[in-house]
Amino acid sequence: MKRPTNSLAVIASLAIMAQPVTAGMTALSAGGFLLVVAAADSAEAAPPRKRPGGGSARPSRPAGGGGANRPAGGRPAVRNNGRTNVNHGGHRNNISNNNVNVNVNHGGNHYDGGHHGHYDHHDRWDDDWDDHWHPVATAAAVSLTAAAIGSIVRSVPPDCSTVIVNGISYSQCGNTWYQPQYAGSSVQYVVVNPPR
Amino acid sequence: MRSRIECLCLPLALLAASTAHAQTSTAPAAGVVEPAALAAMDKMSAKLITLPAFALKADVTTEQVLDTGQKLQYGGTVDIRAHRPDAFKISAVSDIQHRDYYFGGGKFTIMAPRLNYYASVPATGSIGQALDKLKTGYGIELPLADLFTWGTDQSLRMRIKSGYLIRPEKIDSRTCTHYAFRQEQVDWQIWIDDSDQLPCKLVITDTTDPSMPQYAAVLHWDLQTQPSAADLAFAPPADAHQIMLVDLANGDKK
Repeated sequence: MKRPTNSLAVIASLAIMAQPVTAGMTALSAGGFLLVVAAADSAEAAPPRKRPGGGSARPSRPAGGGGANRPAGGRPAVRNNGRTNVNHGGHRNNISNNNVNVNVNHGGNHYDGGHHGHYDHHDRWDDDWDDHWHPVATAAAVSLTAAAIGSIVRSVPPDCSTVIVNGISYSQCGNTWYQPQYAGSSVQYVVVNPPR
Repeated sequence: MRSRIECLCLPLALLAASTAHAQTSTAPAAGVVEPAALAAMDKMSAKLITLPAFALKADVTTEQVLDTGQKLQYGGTVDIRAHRPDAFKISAVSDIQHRDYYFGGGKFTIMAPRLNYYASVPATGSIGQALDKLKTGYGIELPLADLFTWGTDQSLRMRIKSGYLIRPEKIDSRTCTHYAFRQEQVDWQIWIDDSDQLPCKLVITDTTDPSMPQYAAVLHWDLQTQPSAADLAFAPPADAHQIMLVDLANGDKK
């Protein structure tokens, strides 16, 4: 179950190239991207999901794209995790839970400029595939090495190691360094320059 | 002649009836809010805010909607221990995610035990104020947060567009009266214990999605356990790593 350590970052960067992100944008649907994802480790990669923000108004990921999110091959992407509250703490929040996401806007603001930009792969509907349960052992050799600084993935390969540099926790996967962070209740990993 | 008129009228009557039915089922906004239903919510809310400290365990089911419209259901638990006005620990555990949330001592912490990452941010004021800040500042919504906001946020009842009593029903060994409410983007049902006015069960239906995913929680209250603020404090496990929590308001990663 050997896995290319950089495949996630590659996916992320390909996604960026395929479809530059603008505020409010949603699912990655470029065919090339999906093809790459399908070839990669779909179980582990925990790839981008269609952001459920706009509900049905948002464009849907093409059917084939669901493969990117399949923990077990056949499962389409998640568009909505429902809601666990009736109310949302004030009228200004009189919106669906679905819209309360960790979206491209805030991340993009931060990472834009000087970098490649990124697509926030992470959405509110993180469901901890990072807890590593996989019905099918999958691996594919995608031996690309580029990892766009600032790109974000939902999980990192299991063979990465946690390294603390200057009090900050990183996840090091070969030559690629990720800095984990919470975005909402979800943990996401930002590709960063090697801290040392 | 008379029978012939009946023959004509019957289809018309049926047509009118079916039209009326279609209207009521597709235009719920013009619903009626029964005063008794609101009164029941008021009594329950009043009861909730009288609890100085409590523990409850909820058996929950959540539903994910896939792009195809298909739904997947997952089970889990939500453990809430609270000390009013300003401390709680909430553990939301399911097969697909486990998060522990701590509030108290001027800070809020989110912990993912399986990932072993935690993040803390300053949070002061009441539980309700903390929930508000978590939502607007960090995009974090805690499950069953309504239990804290009912009774403290007077604007909530204004959102209800329809509400009525169904009937008393059995939830486990309790007799709980079933009410149904509708408001923007969500239908919800609540069962309120006839004996102590505490909620027995809550079902939330997201009506913004055509598949209408539901969240259901059966609540098991433990009023004997009254945790202190100290009981609820976060102590980082020795091998846990602290990471940052993205501040949505600032677009600030740090």
